[in-house]
Amino acid sequence: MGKLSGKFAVVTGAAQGIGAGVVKRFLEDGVDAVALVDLNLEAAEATAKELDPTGTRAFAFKCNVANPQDVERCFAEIIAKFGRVDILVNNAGIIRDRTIIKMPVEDWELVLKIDLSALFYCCKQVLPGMIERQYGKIVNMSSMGFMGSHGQSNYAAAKHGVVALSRVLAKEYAKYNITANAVCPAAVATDMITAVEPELLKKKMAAFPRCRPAEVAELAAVVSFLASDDSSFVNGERMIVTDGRMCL
Amino acid sequence: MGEFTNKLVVITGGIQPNTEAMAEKYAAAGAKVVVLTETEAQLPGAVCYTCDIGVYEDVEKAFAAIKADIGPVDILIHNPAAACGKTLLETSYEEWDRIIAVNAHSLFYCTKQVALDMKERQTGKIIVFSDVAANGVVGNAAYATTKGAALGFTYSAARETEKYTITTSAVTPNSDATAEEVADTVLLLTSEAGRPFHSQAVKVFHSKLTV
Ligand SMILES: NC(=O)c1ccc[n+]([C@@H]2O[C@H](COP(=O)([O-])OP(=O)(O)OC[C@H]3O[C@@H](n4cnc5c(N)ncnc54)[C@H](O)[C@@H]3O)[C@@H](O)[C@H]2O)c1
Repeated sequence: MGKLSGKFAVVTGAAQGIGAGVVKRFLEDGVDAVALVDLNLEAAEATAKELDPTGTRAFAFKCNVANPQDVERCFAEIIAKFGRVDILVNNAGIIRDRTIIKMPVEDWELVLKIDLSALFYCCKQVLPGMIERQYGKIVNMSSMGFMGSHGQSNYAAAKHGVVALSRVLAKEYAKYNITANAVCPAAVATDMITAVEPELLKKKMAAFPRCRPAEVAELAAVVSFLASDDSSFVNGERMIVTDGRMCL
Repeated sequence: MGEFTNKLVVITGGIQPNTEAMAEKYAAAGAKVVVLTETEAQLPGAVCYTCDIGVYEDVEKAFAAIKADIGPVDILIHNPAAACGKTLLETSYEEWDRIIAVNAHSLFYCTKQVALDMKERQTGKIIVFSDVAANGVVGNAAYATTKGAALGFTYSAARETEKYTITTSAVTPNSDATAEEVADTVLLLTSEAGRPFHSQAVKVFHSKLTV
């Protein structure tokens, strides 16, 4: 019996990186089943197979979370298979960094779609069932980037929007025993970070008290806490996970 | 001659009480005031340009016209306030996308039109209207979300513009602040005395505790 046993979960952007780490942790915590939702079906299937070789608890679903019709179709499939969704982790996200002067309009709009509006589309699919059953846990992946960086006006707007959206969800749906929280990591040791040239990485990490990025598992542990009943009275929070680099 | 004399102020988001108050105060201080309105409108002390700030081509056209007619923008005030007054579940995809376009995309669309001129002239003030709703409210989900997005935008824009001596800040009014008080705060922030507030979200309200 793990702390997530009896629960059905959905993780978006789960084919790799943080999303895959969250799936791994959910499986260890005893989740009944978890849907790996990703644009990249092949990679999501491979991750599901790697993390759950028996193929009985982790299932891949193809979906572009930026497209509401595709989101509707995908979540209908998941709900048909699982019967319900108790936990939704909105994790899919992209970056398209450029200064405002140089940023193409399409890059602004794409980041706002995938990193912000997609959360609205996905929440809309699971909230009615959560309300009916008076139970739900929503975890939204924001980023320390919500406090703004050079060349990230799109990402900062989206990720700060995620913080506000989480608070809206908390205030609107707490009465149905649904919690929603945002997670704000700074650097996490995914492929994106570990691919950085070692000397440069060392320089960047010097600003962190322990001079290193978060391990994916360290972040997954926070997500798991917010997805479990241990966080039943934690609602509308922005959980900053930066080892003390940023304290707000 | 005050510091706003002949400065060009552009305010987005149509005619609202705090925009009326800002237009009046800037005009009284000698500034030229333009208000972007979705449909044709008139406001004493200001010139209204018709523009759907949620549509990029419209924004490009309006700012090109303003530059040709009056000159480069000194002060840009983002005050979009599209809202549908619905909970997240009640909000349709169309309502959501439209509110994102008007309240969030417009920040980027409009700033993009003035940023290069401000950079070249090494001067400029940008104000973004957020709202305490960004701390979560019931029954205005899309609006509240975009008012959070406004803060993220402000902080990034501040990082990008500071080396060109452009001041970028946000204001976070609560409903207990009067339009006069909000306008006074914006005038302060866009004056030279407002420089220390660069990159900050300044709360304009009396009683509410928020973090
Ligand atoms: N890695 C970090 O250091 C870091 C730091 C702060 C926040 N974050 C956030 O964490 C989340 C995950 O980051 P990551 O580093 O694991 O990213 P990643 O790029 O490794 O993985 C993202 C996954 O999302 C999927 N995806 C992208 N667009 C999609 C779409 N439209 N529909 C469905 N799936 C889509 C991708 O296929 C990919 O599998 C993101 O929201 C990111 O902003 C990451």
